[in-house]
Amino acid sequence: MNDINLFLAKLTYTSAKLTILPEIILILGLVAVVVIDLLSKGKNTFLLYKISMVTLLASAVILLWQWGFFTAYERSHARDFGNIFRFFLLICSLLSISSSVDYILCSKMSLAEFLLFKLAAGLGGMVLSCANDLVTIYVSLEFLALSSCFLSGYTKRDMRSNEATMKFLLMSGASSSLLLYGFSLLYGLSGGQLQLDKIVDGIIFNRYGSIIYLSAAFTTAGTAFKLSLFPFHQWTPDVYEGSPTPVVAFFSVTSKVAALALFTRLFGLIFPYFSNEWHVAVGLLATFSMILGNLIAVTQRSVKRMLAFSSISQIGYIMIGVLSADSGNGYASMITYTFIYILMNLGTFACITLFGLRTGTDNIRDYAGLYMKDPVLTFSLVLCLLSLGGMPPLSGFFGKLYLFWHGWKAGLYSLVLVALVTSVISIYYYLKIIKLMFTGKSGRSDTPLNSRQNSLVSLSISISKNSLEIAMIICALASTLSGIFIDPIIEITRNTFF
Amino acid sequence: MFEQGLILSAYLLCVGFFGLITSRNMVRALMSLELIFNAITLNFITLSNLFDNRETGEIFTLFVIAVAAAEAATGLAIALSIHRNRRSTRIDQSNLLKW
Amino acid sequence: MFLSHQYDSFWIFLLVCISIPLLAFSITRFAAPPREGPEKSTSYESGIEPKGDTWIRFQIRYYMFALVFTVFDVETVFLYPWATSFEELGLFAFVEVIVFIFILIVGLVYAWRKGALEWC
Repeated sequence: MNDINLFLAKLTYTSAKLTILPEIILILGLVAVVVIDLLSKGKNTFLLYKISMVTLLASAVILLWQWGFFTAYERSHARDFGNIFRFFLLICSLLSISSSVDYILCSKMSLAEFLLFKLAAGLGGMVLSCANDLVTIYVSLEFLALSSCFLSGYTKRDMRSNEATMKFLLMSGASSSLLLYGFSLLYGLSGGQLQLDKIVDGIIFNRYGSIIYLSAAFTTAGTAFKLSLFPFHQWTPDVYEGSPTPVVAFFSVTSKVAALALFTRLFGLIFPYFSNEWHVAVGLLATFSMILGNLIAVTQRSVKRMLAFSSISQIGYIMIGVLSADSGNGYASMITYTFIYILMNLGTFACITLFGLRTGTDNIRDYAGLYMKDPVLTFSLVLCLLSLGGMPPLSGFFGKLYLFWHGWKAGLYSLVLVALVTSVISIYYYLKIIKLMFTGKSGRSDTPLNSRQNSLVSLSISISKNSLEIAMIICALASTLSGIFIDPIIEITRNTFF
Repeated sequence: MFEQGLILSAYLLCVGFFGLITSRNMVRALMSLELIFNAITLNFITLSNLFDNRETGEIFTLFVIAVAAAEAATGLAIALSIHRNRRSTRIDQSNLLKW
Repeated sequence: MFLSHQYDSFWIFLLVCISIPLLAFSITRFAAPPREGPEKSTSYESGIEPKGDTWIRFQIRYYMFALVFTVFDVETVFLYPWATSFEELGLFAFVEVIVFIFILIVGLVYAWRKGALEWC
């Protein structure tokens, strides 16, 4: 009996010590999905869905448990940062898989590969957000990018999807090669080190000061491509428009969150001692992406394209949080706003997926008079859009308030002013859709609301149909209510500084 | 010797980017991308010759090669599916997605 | 760097290498009797008459094999560094390599079951 207890204690300690256990579980889930799909020859789709959900949930639970286990003994801020982002990525994968299964089944594509690529992309992001080695960073970044690329071209008969994935592949290849060139310069400057903390020691005592700027410029360009900051944002709207809608939901959160973690870690760790220079550069990029993202979004006719530009501007807001980090609060405002942004954006895309599934369109004009047809969908969409715009009672407002207040305290006056003005513009185009949904006459009444549902009367599909609606309602409620619980979130995220 | 290596790799990088920007064929763009990756590989190898622990740069090179192969495979798969749908792989003919 | 004496044998080797094909071509030119004919100007291709354009389309099926081959070929690159320092790395690295190969085998089985290795 004693032996068993001892063994259990040892096992607990070892598994808590093994920090990549959540990733290992995800890999096991991936292999299980592939093997079961091969054994059942693509028939048992619902089991695959359940396996991937259970894997993600188990991974999240173990991550939280490890986190709690370690907080009890020692407190390491860098690990907190990585853990928070890993948890965010797990939430993203969970919500986006549950909201996209239905779309895949309705468009008669195979589910196994879709789940495989989504889990793989989530895995890449998780490894990326806690990687401490240039090789690991590069490989996990490419893992994320290539999985996203396959997801983007998943509807391979669709020419628009083909074109989107071609653009995405070329752009992500170019951006990661820029990043890699920056890495190679860093490797040379630091005297042959690949660990991030050793690189810092290496480049402080260095004679070639100007090459560090070159390397920082390349790294900024590479990560700004992934983040879709202003001059490197060209691929975003095209890829968002061409890809299948649930995939876009996944892109808009997962790759953004992972790239954000990468950006913050790289610049917070490696280039802290000439922070003035890159603060100015990134501040400029953030300003331009806020202005241009919001102004161009006003003129868009497709909802997905509009949300692409809106996400460009949201990244601009989040950059304020990155720039305003100080020793007291760390990246608290950035992480809090990222969390709220994940919920709002996934909620919006879940609503758009549902709408697109029922009517087969994503044009803004077709949203006219949606309130008459489906009040639940309308209300969820309204809540998410208003939250994205930052209307006062919703959580987007509190997130933005905290972010801007933090930025103001850090002395980023011009950035915060630009952000305030542009959020007013953003409220205009969100309200335009909302007005259309409530007051607009339904011009095309011949598009029946449940046109695709009739042909698909099967048990698994009706269950997963619920899962899309559940995910939508969870996101809408969370993006409404998490404003009330913002204090505990801020408390958790407050101590994350490396 | 070491400067020449760096200059050669920077030159190859520029050639690769020039090819990526100007080429009208998907396959040719992918070849330019490969050229860029090879330039970076060359950079790593040249720099790793300077230091005592040479393995790190060489291992990074191995990873870059592997990832570049995966990327080329992906790109060719995409080129294939584009060719099936529209009978050409020219980039400038794909103009469905624009503002 | 290339001027040092340890490269002398290399230079000689290079010279011999270059001279062999040159000599082969020039000797035949002097020795062989000149006779023109339509048969003679065609390119020799292992006994089979060449016909058609040189720019032909390859079967698309080659592509799948090339793809699968490339992926596995490149992944082998990781096994070489491990194999050269097998003694130092020990059992843990061995287990890790087994895991790596297992994942590769899952990929191969996937390609096989999905019909990527079928010729028709």
